[in-house]
Amino acid sequence: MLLCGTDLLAGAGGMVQPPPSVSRAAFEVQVLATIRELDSVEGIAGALAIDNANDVRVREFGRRLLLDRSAIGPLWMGFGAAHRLPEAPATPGAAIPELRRYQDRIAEARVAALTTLPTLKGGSFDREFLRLVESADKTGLAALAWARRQLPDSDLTPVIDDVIPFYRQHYTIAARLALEQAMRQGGR
Amino acid sequence: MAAPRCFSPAPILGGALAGLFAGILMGLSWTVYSGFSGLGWSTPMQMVAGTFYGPLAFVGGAGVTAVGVVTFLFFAAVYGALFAELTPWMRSSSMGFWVGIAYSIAVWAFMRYVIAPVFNSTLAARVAVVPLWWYFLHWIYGAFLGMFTPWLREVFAEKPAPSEPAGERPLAA
Repeated sequence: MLLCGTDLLAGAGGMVQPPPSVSRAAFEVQVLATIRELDSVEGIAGALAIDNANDVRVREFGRRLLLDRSAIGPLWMGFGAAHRLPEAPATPGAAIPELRRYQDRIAEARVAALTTLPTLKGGSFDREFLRLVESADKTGLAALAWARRQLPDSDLTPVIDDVIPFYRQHYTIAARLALEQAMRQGGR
Repeated sequence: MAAPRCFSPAPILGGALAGLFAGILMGLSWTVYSGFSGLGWSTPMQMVAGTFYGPLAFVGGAGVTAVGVVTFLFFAAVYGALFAELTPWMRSSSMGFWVGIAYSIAVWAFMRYVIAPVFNSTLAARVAVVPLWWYFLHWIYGAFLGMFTPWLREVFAEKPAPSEPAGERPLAA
């Protein structure tokens, strides 16, 4: 079943303020690190899909992931550069356990994209690719929704608002294509 | 009592054609910008097709892109016809340029705040990232629409028959 935006955000947890020990800048760095991680998963998986996907629509989706990086990248990279934030936090998710959990799950997807996906071909590649992107985007959306609630008045909020629709669209495409594939297989 | 205004399709036809031409120029500008900025040549028309397919328009292939092109040009023609109907007093292309830009700002606002959010959230989310460019694209449409409309309205205007030149028509049969 497809999840709509509110369902996705429901898994993001309640209103949890960032720990007082974490500065606003450090929090923003962690949020950008989460986006970077998600961007990386989509980039790796998308490039593999262009070469290895069996279904033409899955291949097209891989191309879409790469094209959209051109739109999303300048948004979050531009914010980091404008605010002179370091490219990567010293410790991933340090002192923000909630965000750390999301980052770990996206990092697992990245590892799978690097290790498992290249070994697959044909229909099994398509299934794993769609599952991986769907899972990563769902986690990423939950992370961003959570982060947005913590800092409603941050300069980063408009950036989050801009990137969320892209990831939501990717999530919708992945979930829909996976569902169609499952139905086709079930019908055989 | 004022005589009822006779309906004539000529201005609407001229305006629709002007809208079509202006829409082609706007669509080409959008496509070229998108292609050269690395966002994909077919992305703009796929976004338009998102009205019917949602985000799946991005994986629909050439057929879906064609649906986007037809939808885009249809609306360009409709807005053009409406423009022609609203500006029967406009006779020169230079005036049309400025009136067209003003009209395009109204079209942009309507598309940006009513049509796109309600009927095509796929498009709305993406043009929100490049708001100025999308605004400027509508200027391109409006400027050309305004310049083409007086000329095309003239082309489609009903000419008096040669046997009955204007002003020489007999008063009574």
